[in-house]
Amino acid sequence: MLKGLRAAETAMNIQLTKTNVLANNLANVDTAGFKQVLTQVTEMTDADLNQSERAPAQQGLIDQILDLRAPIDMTQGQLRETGRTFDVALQGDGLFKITKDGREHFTRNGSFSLDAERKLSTQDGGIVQGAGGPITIPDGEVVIRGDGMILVDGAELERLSIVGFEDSRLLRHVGGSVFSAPDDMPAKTLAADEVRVAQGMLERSNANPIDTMIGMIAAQRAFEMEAKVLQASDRTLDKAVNELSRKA
Amino acid sequence: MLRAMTSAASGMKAQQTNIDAIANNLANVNTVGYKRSHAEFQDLLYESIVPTGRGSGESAPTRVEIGHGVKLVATSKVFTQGVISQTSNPLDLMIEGDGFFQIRLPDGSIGYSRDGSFKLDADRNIVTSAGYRLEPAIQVPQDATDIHVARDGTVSVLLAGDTSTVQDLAQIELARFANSAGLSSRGGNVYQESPNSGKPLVSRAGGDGLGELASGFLEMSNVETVEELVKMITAQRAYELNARTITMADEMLQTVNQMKR
Repeated sequence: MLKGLRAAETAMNIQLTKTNVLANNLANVDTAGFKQVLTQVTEMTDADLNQSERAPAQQGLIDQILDLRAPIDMTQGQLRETGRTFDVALQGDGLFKITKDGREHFTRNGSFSLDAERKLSTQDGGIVQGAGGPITIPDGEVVIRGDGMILVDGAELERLSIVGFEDSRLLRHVGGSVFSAPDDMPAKTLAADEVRVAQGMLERSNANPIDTMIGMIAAQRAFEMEAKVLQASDRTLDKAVNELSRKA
Repeated sequence: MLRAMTSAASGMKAQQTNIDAIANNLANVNTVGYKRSHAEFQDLLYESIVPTGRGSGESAPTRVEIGHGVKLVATSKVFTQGVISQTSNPLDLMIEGDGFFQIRLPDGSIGYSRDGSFKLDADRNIVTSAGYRLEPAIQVPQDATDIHVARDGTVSVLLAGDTSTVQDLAQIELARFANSAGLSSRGGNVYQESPNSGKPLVSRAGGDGLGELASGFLEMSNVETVEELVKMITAQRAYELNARTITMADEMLQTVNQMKR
């Protein structure tokens, strides 16, 4: 009986978490370079259970444990034309490398501008990295070529540092449209022929409102269903404890 | 549970600002020299959790990241060329290309504008529609009968009684910025220098990467109504989606409340 209660509780918590993740995707349907977080509810495998610290004591108690996986969906977002010089979008693989507060971050949001020292920076003050560190843009006409090379009045200045990862789905969201990489996954700088940069464009959010809404409806209904399961378990337990004991 | 609600609330707030920016663009669809602005968003901080039922969450693929919604980071101006309108008034000037007219503001500082609908004031100074003087100031003589502005900004006049000699009067200077998107809007079609815009580079029209002047034309707004309306529709739908999220989160809380009667 307690098994049923516990299983329903786990399932309800997972549906709550799923709703929270999906709500964030929906809130960011207009955020440039945003990558949605997918939600997959799966059953835990034996291997997972053996890894778990609590597993030995609880394995017998719980028949079936649900698990929520939330990988980042790194698929390409649509490109939107903005016509601004320092807006750049990546087509295909890669992320721009930036530094903020001394830490290295990565982003697909190429809505850049210049800071007070004329360094190329993100909207919230992160410094965009080139092949040789921060990029200071001198006065002149700025063209950003398809391979990420910045040209000022026709002369090559520096290439934007665009990096790739072994599995970019394992990147972590930091907020402010940037990702951080886990320590065991180093960034590889992509060569000129591996990247496609479009100037005057921004990559739209890849959050899909339809899928997300359907996911949320499903989560809400599953949540209600599990609440019923919990109530049913509770009633059965009530019978066992209060009625059966009276007859005995 | 409340996270979904606050995320959705931040989404609604962001879309509200987006609509504000779009509405302002649409309101200025016929404003001379107006440049459309665009709201930009970023996602908020993330919290990484280990789902219930899971003992240790050390291995990377099991992480679940929950964001806290969205925030507005900037509304930036888009300085593309606006639509051209012919007026045949010699003091209506249009900059073809990069650059701004320099305007002496009442507080003594210099403002920058793309609005070239100039007039003469009582003292025959060249002023904007708001009455601010062009910088450097140009005074047209009392007896001038005809004003002509050349493509490089040279202002010349014909004086009464002497219709054969054209007299060069002054030179209109333009300014441009490395990052004009970083200028701050002052209202009244005037922008001001900011730490993000860089220092102004002043020169005559047509020189140093500046655009040339066309007399008898005005640069209208660069707002594209169709694009703005499409943006408005998507913003409204995104607003509704977020509102729906709040309703759903509320219904889930209701389910919890009804579990134990």
